[in-house]
Amino acid sequence: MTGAEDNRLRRWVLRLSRTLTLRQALSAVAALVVLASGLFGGLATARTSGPTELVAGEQVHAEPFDVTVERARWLTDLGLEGETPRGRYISVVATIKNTSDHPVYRSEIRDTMRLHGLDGVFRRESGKETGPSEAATPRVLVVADASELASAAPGLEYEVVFLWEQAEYMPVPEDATVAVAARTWRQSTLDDQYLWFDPTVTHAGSIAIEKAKEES
Amino acid sequence: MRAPTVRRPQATAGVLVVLALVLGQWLHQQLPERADASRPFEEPVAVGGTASLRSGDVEVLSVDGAPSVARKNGPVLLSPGLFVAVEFTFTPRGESSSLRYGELRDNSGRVLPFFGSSGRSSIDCVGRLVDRPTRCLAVVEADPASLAGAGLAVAPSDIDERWDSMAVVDLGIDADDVTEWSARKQFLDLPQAGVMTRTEAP
Repeated sequence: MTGAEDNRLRRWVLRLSRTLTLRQALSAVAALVVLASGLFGGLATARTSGPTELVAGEQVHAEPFDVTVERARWLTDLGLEGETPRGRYISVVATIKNTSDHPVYRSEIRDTMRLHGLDGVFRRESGKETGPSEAATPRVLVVADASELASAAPGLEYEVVFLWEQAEYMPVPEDATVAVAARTWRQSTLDDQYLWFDPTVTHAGSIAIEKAKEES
Repeated sequence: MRAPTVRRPQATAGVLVVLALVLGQWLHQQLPERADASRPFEEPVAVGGTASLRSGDVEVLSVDGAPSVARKNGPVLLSPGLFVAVEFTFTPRGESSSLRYGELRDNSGRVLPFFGSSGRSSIDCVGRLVDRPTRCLAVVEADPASLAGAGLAVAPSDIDERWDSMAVVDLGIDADDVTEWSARKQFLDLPQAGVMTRTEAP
């Protein structure tokens, strides 16, 4: 910058400081910052927080799955050999399709869905500890062969049942909120392995729980 | 009169320590740290052939597929895709060892790992007796469209397959095989994995 330009800038700042109050100057700077942030997306519509509405029968995508929750039922007998019920079963039938390029394993499959709003739900596959359904991990069985879905291969769509057990002393539920969580495929900061991390509830909706038709 | 203390050996030791640190640092910088430097040593093998691994020999016996499979005395599993069953033997060398890791390398270049001896994709290969072939079985569930031209890799560790050797089996699957397997109505009776007798051994 030349000396003449320097003097001109100094005179301009001096004149501005005489005509503007400090408050006006700060407001002008703040306005400029807000306008400038628009260049980087600062003025874009903010994303609404919270999960998107989940409706039975409508497909949603929660990475890595396309998930369609079909129906929810309660029943007292699964009809499986060697099964000893601890209470009543609450089931959510859904189709899930692994749309990623990686297999998804048991714990991630189980964590895909949670029930909200019920109490007296057995927290794990075995044991007697009960609590709120939000903290209870479901089993996931393949409807076609009643085997556990321990891994979901890429590109395949499974009809599955997410299965919880609720203590019999609790009243029969009429509905529950089904929450579906998405995950991110990323490298572990601990051991550099790529795995599915960061479960985040992306969809949730209330589903009626009806009594299942049981074979006598 | 007391002789003056000689400091030179201590100083030399200090210099050597510093030199060793410098050398260590230099070596650390020179040695490759990329993932491909620690990749497994791959031993390619086709059906009917044998791959020699660090811990033993793998001989591939057969490859078959179907939409449904059943283990002996086990339930029938039904797939929305296909199950591929690879039967092979493993002969441990030097000490008992097993193959616990499998990965399907599909025709899109995807690597799909599996482990555990039960479930929809599994590898059952426990080599208890040295120099005795064990009958092994790998079953993997996959999208039929991904199978023509696919391969299967098996390795000893299901935790960390780096640095060790790994058999990479060319499954020899083509589009006709996939069509034929997909049309099967009867479930595939899976061979039982376990130690073979001498007469069974190929």
